[in-house]
Order: sequence, then C-alpha cells, then structure tokens
Amino acid sequence: MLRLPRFDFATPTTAAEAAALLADPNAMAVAGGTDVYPKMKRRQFVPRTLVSLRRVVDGNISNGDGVRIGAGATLTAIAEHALLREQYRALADAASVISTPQLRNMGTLGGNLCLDTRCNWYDQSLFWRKAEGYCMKTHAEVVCRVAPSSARCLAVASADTVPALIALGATATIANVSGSRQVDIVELYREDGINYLGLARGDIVTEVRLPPARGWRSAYLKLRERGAFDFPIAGVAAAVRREGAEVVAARVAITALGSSPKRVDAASEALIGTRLEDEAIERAAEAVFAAARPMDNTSGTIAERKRAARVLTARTLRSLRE
Amino acid sequence: MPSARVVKNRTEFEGKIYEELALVQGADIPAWSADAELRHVGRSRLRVDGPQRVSGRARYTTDLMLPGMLHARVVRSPHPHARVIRVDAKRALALAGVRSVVDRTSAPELFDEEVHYVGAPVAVVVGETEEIAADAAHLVEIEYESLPFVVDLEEAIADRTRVQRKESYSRGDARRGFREADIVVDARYTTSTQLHNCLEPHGAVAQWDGERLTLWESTQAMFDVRKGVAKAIRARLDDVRVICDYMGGGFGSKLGHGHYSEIAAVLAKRLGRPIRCVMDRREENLVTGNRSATVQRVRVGATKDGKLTALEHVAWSGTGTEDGWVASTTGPSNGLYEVANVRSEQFLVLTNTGPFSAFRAPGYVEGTFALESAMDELADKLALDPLALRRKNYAKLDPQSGKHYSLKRLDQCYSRGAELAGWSRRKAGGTAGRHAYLRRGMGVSTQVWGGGGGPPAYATIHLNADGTAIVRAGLQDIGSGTKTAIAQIAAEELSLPLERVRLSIGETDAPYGPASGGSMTTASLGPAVRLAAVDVRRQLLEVAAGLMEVRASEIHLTDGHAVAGRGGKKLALDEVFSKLQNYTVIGRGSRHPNPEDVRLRSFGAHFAEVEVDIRTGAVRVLKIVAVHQIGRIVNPLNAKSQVEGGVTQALGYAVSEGRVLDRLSGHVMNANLEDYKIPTVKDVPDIVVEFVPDLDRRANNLGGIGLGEPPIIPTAAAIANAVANACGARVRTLPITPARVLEALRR
Repeated sequence: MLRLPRFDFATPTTAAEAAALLADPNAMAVAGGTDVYPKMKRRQFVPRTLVSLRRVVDGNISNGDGVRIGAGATLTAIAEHALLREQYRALADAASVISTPQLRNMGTLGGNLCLDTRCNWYDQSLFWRKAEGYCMKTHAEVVCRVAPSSARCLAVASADTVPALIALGATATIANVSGSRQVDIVELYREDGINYLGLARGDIVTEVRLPPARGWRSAYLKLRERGAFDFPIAGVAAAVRREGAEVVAARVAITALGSSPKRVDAASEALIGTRLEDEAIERAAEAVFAAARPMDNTSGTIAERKRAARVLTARTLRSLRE
Repeated sequence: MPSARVVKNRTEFEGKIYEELALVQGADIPAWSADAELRHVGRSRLRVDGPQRVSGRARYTTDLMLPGMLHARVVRSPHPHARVIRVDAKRALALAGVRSVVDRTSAPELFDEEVHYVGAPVAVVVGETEEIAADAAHLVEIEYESLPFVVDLEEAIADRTRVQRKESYSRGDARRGFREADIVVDARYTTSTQLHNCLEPHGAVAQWDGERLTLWESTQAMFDVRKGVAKAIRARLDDVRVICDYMGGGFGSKLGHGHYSEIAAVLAKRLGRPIRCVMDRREENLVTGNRSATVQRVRVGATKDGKLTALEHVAWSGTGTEDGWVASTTGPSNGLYEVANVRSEQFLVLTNTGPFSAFRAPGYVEGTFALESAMDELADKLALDPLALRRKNYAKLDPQSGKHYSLKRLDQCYSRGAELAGWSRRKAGGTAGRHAYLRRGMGVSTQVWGGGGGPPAYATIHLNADGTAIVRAGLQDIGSGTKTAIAQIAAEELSLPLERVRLSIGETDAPYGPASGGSMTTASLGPAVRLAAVDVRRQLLEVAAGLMEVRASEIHLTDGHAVAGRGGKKLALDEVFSKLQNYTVIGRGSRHPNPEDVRLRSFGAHFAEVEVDIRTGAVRVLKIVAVHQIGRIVNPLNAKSQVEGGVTQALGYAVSEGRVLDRLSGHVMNANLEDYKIPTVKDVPDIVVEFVPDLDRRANNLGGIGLGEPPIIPTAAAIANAVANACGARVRTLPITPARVLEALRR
C-alpha cells in the first residue's frame, strides 16, 4: 500500500501569499495533484509543505483579444471548450488525450505546464531505486543511470499541452512576490531533466494567453503505447496560417523527444511559402526527425520514437490541409 | 430418496485429465432436444445481480468491515534470494495503533527462513487501520544474508539444476515422420510472463467464534480454501466456513487459499479480533501468480501437399518458485491435429521470481501461439492457404485417445469465421493499406480445450409457499455470470419467471460445488441444478395431481398452471402453493459422470485482421472474428461477453502485456497498472462473436460445455499470423511490440 509522507498543507488565497510560502525550498505547489501525489507516494520528492493553488489561480476560459485561460482550468474543461476545439484545436486535442477522464477532471493546465520530467529509471518505486542507489535526479552526487557519462539529467519532457501551446504562440503569466510578467511558453523550459523549468523559487504560472487565431489551423498528435492512459513517448503539434492556399506563418513543436519541448523552426521554414504540398510536408517532417533526440529512457525504442516523430509530423500537417 | 452409488469419472481440468471416483444419486436425464421450446435456457438475460454490481451495492471481500477488525500488512523481501538473519520490530511496535508484529520466530508456520523471490513474505504487521499497518511495515528492520539467484528464464534453462522434465508424450515415431517429410519448419518461440491483475485483489477476512472460523475470501474455489485452511490450522471441515459472495474476477490465481488466508486465520485467533489481509496492486503483480513465460521449440514436418508427417514440441515454462506443477504448453500439439507421429516434452524451470499459477487456459494459450504460428510458417513454405492446411490435417477422432468427440464442429468454426472475416480477401503477402507504408493482413488460429466439467456437484431447490424457488449450491460466481445461467436453468425446469428464482450460494455450509476454473462451473453444476428442479417438479405434480384428483403422469406444468392432459382441467400453481403453506418441497440433484466412450472438448477459430505501419512497426488490430463451439449456450448475451473478455485479455498478451524483470536486482519493474500495459477501451478492436448452434447432447443434460477459457486461447497466434501476412514480419516473441516488428522486418 503506497502511503503519502506527512506534510503540511497550505491554502493561500493570493498569489503573493503563495509565492511567499513557495520561497521555502521545502515547499512545493500543487494544483490538481494527479502527478504530485503519486510521486510523493513513491518518494520521488517529499516536500515538507504543499502549497495549494486552488484559491490562487482561477479556471476561467475567456475570449477577448485572443483567449485567456486560468492556470486552474481543468484538462477536461479545455478539451470540451467549444471555442478552443474550433479555433485552437491543437490545445483541445492535446488536453483530450492526456491520461484518463478521471485524471483530466482533476488535472489542470498549469499543472501540465509544470509537469515533472519522466524517466524509466526515476519513475520507479522507492524500493527499487533505493536498492540501486538512486540517480542524479534525486541525488546530485549520483550519475545519470541512463547515460552514466551524461553531465546532465536526461529525464523527458512529457506534457502534452506544451507543444500545442508553443505551436499556438501562447504566453504564460508568471506571478511572484514582486508582481507578474509574461513569458513566451517556449522560454519556460530548459534542456535539463532536473531544472526543466525556467522558473525561480516562488514563481507561479497563473494564466496562459493565446493570440487571436484568425487564419490559423492547428493540430496535435502523440505516440503512446495504448489508446489512453499513457504519457506521450513522442508528440508533435503544428499550426499554420494560410492566405489563400499559401502558408504565410507556421510553427511546429515537439515533446517527449528530449528533456524539453522544442519549437522546430527548420520545420516551420520548410512550410512557409508552400501550399502544404506533400513535398513540403516531407521536408518539415525531415526537420522534425533531425531535431528529435530521444534517449532510451521511456517505453518504446529510440528508433520507433524517432521514426514516429516524422510520421506524426506528416500526419499532423496533412490534417491541416483541408 | 434415491440411493447413492460410486462411479468412475474422467474430468479435464486446466488441460489435464483427472480420473477419480464420483458419488452420484438417482438417474440422469437426456439434454433438451434442439426443438424443445425453452423459455429461459438459450435466451439472452441480463445478469440477475447486474444492478448490484454496477451501482456499488454489491459487497466484495475487500469491502468488508467488521466491528473491531484489525488490518494485516505483509513485510516483503527486497531480495530475490536471501536468508533472514534477524527481524527487529521495535520501531514498528512503537507506532501508535500497531497491535502486533509477527515473524518466523513467533510464527514459524507462516514464514520460511529463506526467501526465494522479491516479494516473498518475511513478517506481518497488524494495526488498527490498514494505513497504520502499512506505515509500520516500513519500520520493521530486517537483516538479510543475500544468496545467489537467477530471474531470467533463458539463464535458468542453461542451469540444469533449475530444470525438471514434468511431462512427455509421444505417439508413432517422430524421427521417422520427419524423414518422411518433404518440408520441415523448425522454429523457436518465446512468450512473456502475463500478470493476472484481477480487478478485486486477493485477500481474506477471518473471524473466530469459539472454535469456529468464518473466512470471507475472494476465491474461485471456496471448498479448496476450506480444505487448505482447515489443514493449515489443523481444524475440522465443519469448523471452517468460507464465504465468497460477490467476487471481482479470478483467472486461475484464486483456485486455492493464499498466504493471506492463513495470516488472517492464525492471527485472528491469536489476537481475538477479526483480521483483514488484502493485497495491494503491487502485491497482486508480485506474489499472487502469473502465466509462465515460455521458450518453445516446434518442429513440423509435412508432405508437399500439406499432410503433416511429424510434430515435435518442446516447451520450457518459467514457474518462478513453484516446483509442484507446470501448465501443459504442449497440450495443443498433442491433441489438435491428425498427425501420426508426435513427440512432446514439457519442462518446468525454476527462477527466483514469484510463483506462477493457473491463468485462463494455462499452457494452451502459450502453446497455441507457438503451434499455430508454426502451422502458418509451414503454410507459407508450402504456398498453401493457412486454412486449407488446417483443414487438410483435421482430426475427426481425438488423436490421443482414438475416441470420437461428443461434438466437433471446428470445420464450421473455420467456414463461418472465414465468411465473417472476409477470408477470401486475404492474399499471400498481404494487401495494401491507404498508403504505401501501411500493410494489411489476415491470420487464423485454432482453439482446442476441455471444459466438459464433471462430478461432484450438488444442488437443492426448495419452494416457498408463495411459489418462489431458492436454489442452494456450493457455487461462487466469480463475475462470469454463472449465477444468471444457473437461475435460467432452474427457472426453465420449474416453469417459473426468472425473478422468482433466487440463488443461495457463496458459502461452504452447503453441499460441495466445483471450483470456478477450467471452464467447468456451469457444465458441472448446471446439470445438477436441472435434476434438482426436475425433482421439485415431479413432487409438485404429485401434489397438484392429488388436488386435481388425476394421476400425476397426466398433468404438466405450463404458464404457472398445472394442466391435466385431455380434459384441460387447470389449476393455478398459486393455489397449489397456498395449499402447501409451510410445507417445503425440496428437490435434490447431483452431477452425473461424463460419458466414457467419447471425448468432451470445445473448439473454436479466431480470425484477425491487422494493419502494420512498416515505418514505425506499429500494429493496429482492426478486427477479431471469434467463432466457438461449446454446444448449447445457456445465455447468449453472457456468452458473448465472455468471448469479448477473453479476446481483450488475449490482445494484451499478444501486443502489449509482459512482466519486466530487472536481471540484476530481481525486481519487477512494472508491478502496477500504469506500466503493465493492459489494453484500454480505446485499444480493443471490433470483436465479432458467433457460436455454432449444434448441441453437445452427449456431454451432459444441458447439451453444452464451458466457455470461460476458450476465447483467450487462439487470438495471439491469429494476430501474429496476420502481422506476418501483412508485411512478412514473422514475430516469434510475445508481445508483438513495434520494436520486434521492425526487427523482424530487417531480417
């Protein structure tokens, strides 16, 4: 029986209050808790204080100049939102293929953005990790068990919504004790399995803003072992804006193919000025293939995931043609 | 009362034949004829306990909370092989709410000095709540001396001390048969360890009342639990009462009592309070059993025109620490095809992993994958249609005994399946998908299994004064819908509406009933229930005859009335019942032995259609057609569910499931439902189910046999054969992962 460790549970009502609590290195934020609690049960981390963001961030989805989504919006709310499904399909698609309905009902957009990186080694029981002597991600003095010569942790970025948000050109609002700032989504991430987020202690993601979608079409596809429940082992989001048949702007982003989600600009460049012909799509897919750097630390194999990145890119882009 | 007599009976259970004596009473009756007008049997009925199950009102063993009950959690070994030097419970006992910590020194009957697999029990903690017990379990300090171990099957096979030959079979002269062959396929197949993952975990709750123990247990075999626990605690059978009311699934790992049963029984007595000992999901995946991983070598020899001349099948099954028995992996090779020369051997291989147990058609699932894959490899070499090759070697008589089958309609399963699957669309080398990189293919595979059931099984039925009936039997319904089938059989013979038949089952203070395993519950118990109902009906007619002043032979029951033959005199049964008041009509029935001169076996054929992406190795199973022959179907709706469940479990076995072991530490790396990949609802393809309508009239008085296991047997080979047909990738290892497809494509 997996048991939670003891912890204090703080329920601040303002971002400033939450940020102050989170300044403690032994504190951690929790939103839906669908990833935090299981990992605490397995002792991937054992925070002394959990700071609930339930009263700090809202879950509203509002439409104005673009769309604003409160970081507390559940994945179900995003997956089922009519406007998002129509105009920001990549995001609604990504939210709809996360885990299972029960977990989507609890999990939030902010939580998915800050999702811990994953690794076959790290995501094991305490029982086994302890027997093996842990790894770099929890014990800085230990090597990376996936590639012992690696200078950094190779755990994998596994959030489905992030590549969608990158493709959609979204920004995140970050609040802390001294105020708030806007950050381009892609700027939030670091190619490092441990310090995977470019956030300082006390920073809280409070909302996501999507630019107006006029003329844009987008989609997201993921590879996973089963049709539900599983984290991505490769994921591709693409968005294109066309004038007539011609692509005038494009963004392609990938996840689960390295320690950070990436925008693949070479793929976008391969598309701009084309009419999404097969050849253009092929070139973009090739660019994604080149950018994908999977390691052998998820289910599936490196070859399968790398090939899937190319296949998913082509499939995603073809779905944008109609 | 009819007198009892002892007869010899042959029953096939989990792929092996058992001959034993059976006590029977009275005489049997023939099965209902094909044109009998039946009102319940053979018709789809919703489950009698469906509303309870889906609304959460059904109470399972794991839900049971008795006043004063304590909770037991087992402390388990992190070593695959070690000697326990010392157990220090001081810190655990200091935790508030901990009542007891027991290890080998205080309970030598519960623990061994040496542990042989990761997860083996070392101590048990008893606390006021399950959470307290779990917390305290982490505080028990254990000193081990670790010992050498092997967890990998192939490594263990190379170590002769770990290998035992358990079964061998031959007929004819295999060596000569291979000399006569024009073509020989010689292939090696491997399969993964499949984990049961029953929805309801294994567990027991024990309560003592003086010298009498009541044990609630999630089990497929209440009577075996009673026998096993009584022996373990040296109690008399009448002092142990086992209760299994609602049950959340069992696929063979709940066929006897568990260590948890003994823990609950022994500690409940010591501590004077009820004890609950229920496994968590990790324990389910470590210690409660599994389907053996296998390494198999199959050689098939045939003439140019496809007639088999010899078949050789050698199987090594990893049984973990279980050294008593091994499943019959070679069973299908011994008994499916007409081939004069057969040789097979079955080896048990010990590894330092959790013990294996029966798992839905144990052995036959693994063996059929190898045999039916090899048959397709042979068909490819001979450039024959795989179905034609199977038909060419069709066994009209049972190849092992030379006897006729009570019923064999495998040919119809083939032809109807081929029709439903559109087999005529199949092309050698597969067909093109929507894109150049998508290939489509079809595959077929055959199922043979027992499931005829047999004695002993008993039932009584009594009527209440308002014309309702209660069927009493030593039966547990493990979730397969047996309860509904039994009610249908009783209602049929009693001419009562289904809702007027209630079942009193799920405990051992009843005459013996069969284990729910080996596909034999309904085929064993159903005929006894029918005879009990016939007995009730006979007595009821006598009463009605007395009231109507006619001879009993002149009246019959219909529509809730006793009707006299000619004159058409009618008497409402309500009236008969009201005259009876509190007198109870009691009918008795027992299961009669199986016929001696024929072999009872079920047959079936599965057809798979798949699409393979040759760039990524991804396999999409598009459709499974399953046609089975088991004789009469008591409840078609339920039977269809049974097949869908079997196919789904087989799909996981074929493409996604498999226990992953760490060779260096001996730990199971996917002992949870996140990493052990059971198919989700989105992974299950279109499943088309049909049954051959012919009755198996020789089998028993129902005219049908069991269906629990057949639907899991042939699917994996059908999928493997379809993948090979689609793209030429012959994957000889289960599960068929994208990586294995890519590897096979490179060969």
